[in-house]
Amino acid sequence: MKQGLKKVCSIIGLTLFILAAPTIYAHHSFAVHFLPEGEVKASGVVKSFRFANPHGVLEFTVINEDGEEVQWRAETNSPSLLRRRGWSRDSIKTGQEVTVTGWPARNDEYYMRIRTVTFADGSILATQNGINLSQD
Amino acid sequence: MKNHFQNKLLLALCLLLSSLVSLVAQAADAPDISGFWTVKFEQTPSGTELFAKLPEDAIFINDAGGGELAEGDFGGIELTESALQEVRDYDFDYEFSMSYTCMAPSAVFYMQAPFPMEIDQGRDIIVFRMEYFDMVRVIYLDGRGHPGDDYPHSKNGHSIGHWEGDELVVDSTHFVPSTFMNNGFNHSDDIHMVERFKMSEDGETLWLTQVYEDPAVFAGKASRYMAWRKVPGENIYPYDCDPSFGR
Repeated sequence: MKQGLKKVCSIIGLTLFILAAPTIYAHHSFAVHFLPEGEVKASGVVKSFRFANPHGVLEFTVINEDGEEVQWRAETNSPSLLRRRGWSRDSIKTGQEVTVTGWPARNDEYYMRIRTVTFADGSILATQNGINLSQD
Repeated sequence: MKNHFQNKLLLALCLLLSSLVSLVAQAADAPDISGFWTVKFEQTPSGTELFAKLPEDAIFINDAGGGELAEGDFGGIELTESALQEVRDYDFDYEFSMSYTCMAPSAVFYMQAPFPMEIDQGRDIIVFRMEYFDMVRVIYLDGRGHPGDDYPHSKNGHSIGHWEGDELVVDSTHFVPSTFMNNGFNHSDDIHMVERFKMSEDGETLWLTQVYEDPAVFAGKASRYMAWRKVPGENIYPYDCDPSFGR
């Protein structure tokens, strides 16, 4: 009876876990390197975009409140997964203005895991399922 | 004396033949799990028949698919002192190095990664081609056992399987130490993994449970659960890991 209850609890726990967990994954640990409950947002101009496994990397330049240039780096989840969500190596181009939201790194003020990239025309690229893509 | 030897030989041949007939019969009745499978993020776990077969004393790890446990969280598993020390000494910054970037995990971990896979099923072998890190795993169904201790260990390990009704049971050994939870907790080269695969009656869902034992690293048993959805006509993509992500 006790063991049966344990299994039921496991199933309920798994259900809650699946409902709560974002589909985040990394060749490195996500939970260790990023704040799962955090959110960061930065706007700037794309310096480079690398689209290769295990992570894509977007480098962009942000002008901070003091008028100084700050170099941001933002990683994506696996490009293999993103290809099935509409991304390609040409999705983001050098010189484009972007606003990037994501999960902040724990130990680097200017590093994040990307959640969305919004372009000047309002279109959005998302790294997770369940977010409406509006890019043409 | 001669007759005694002949009888023994005959008995051995009969046993061998009987085993072969049994294997062929199993393979003939086995469901075909071939095809492209993508991770199913279920709202409610559906593979309850496999859940029921998990050992009652196995700690269930809730990190399969898209989730991960945080640093210091081992899901209730009791690590040995040497394993705890290894976790304490683990350098997380190394994960961003060029030499680490394309270091694939073992089948203990990669089976639960949220990437699709393709299964090619034959009578004597089943091949799992994983999108994640381009890993390829062979399950031998021809009745062979595991090789000896001197056989090389690897990320894919050595896997032998058999059918129990409509369930594929796979026994794996010969792994190299690799990440167990992606949070500094590694399994040893002595880990033993037993898996049960089962396909739903409509052929659209594949379930898997894994049970692990690794006494050098943790006490007792641990387990995981996974589910995939069949997608006809799809193919896995090449992973082609690029180490230049590392710094």
